Amino acid sequence: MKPSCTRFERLSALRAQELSDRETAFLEAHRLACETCRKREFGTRAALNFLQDAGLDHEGDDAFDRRLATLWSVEKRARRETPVWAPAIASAVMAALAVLAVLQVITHREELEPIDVRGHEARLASPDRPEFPLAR
Amino acid sequence: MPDVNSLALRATPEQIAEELRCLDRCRRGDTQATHALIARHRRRLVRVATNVLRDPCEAEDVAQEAFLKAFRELHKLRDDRAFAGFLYRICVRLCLDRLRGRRAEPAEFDRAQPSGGPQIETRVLVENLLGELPAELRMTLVLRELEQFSYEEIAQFMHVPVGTVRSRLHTAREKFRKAYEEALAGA
Repeated sequence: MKPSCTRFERLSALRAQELSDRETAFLEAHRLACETCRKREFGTRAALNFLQDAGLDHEGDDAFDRRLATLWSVEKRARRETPVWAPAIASAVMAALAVLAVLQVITHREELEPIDVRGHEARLASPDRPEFPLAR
Repeated sequence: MPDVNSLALRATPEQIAEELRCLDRCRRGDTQATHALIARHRRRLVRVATNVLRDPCEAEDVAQEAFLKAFRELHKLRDDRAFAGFLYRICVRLCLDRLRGRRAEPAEFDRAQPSGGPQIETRVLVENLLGELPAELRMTLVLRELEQFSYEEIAQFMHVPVGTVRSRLHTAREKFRKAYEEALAGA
């Protein structure tokens, strides 16, 4: 692509009010001289006109405003009633409970009945049982 | 990055002054001021979200979420003149999240809204053509071609340099044109 075509493409994306007189003159001259750019610009314009014609004008209504204002006032009230440090207190209590539970397990470990796994080991090692029962 | 303070979405000095007063009162918990801010920005914000998402109900959800998030994070706003840009940036980010979360499937007739605006076939075709674009390209194209925002405003909303907006817009236009021409040839 020629540098002038690249420039044309860049400038043709701008609106008339965003262009200087010199740039407008360049666009007009290049449009006359370059058929490829002219055709591409025509195709782009047709596609964008189609897009603009299909623009949706939905803007919400007063009910939206009222709903939103209510939501915000409810949220604000809830925030005022819940102190900012409440989540920190809740987290601290949960952490303390977890630490206590761990300490309980550590200090009473010897009192806990050991789990006898010998039977399981014996069954797995037994010669009259296949090593992989599912493979049978 | 463009200067966010220079972007007040084409508001007059009186409107900007009124908005600054509203924001100040809103921070102090004034419900009327909150109402005024919503009323001032709702139309455009909902329309932008509708044209990006092509679904009015989803657009209202997003606009509502954007307002709530903006009010919650009002303390983060260093310059109140940038409120409009701040609000649109949140909305654009939420729309992009929704677009990325969508499954790629062609639009159907029952998803289009029944009344007002363009013909249903046109809407479905536009939705399918836009659906072929990645979320960022689709957003850039809609903000520029349907909502008529400047490159600087789009750069601010999408938190990217102006050069990125320019190149994304170029790619989006090309892809949209090709998809449109293919659709015409196939019809």
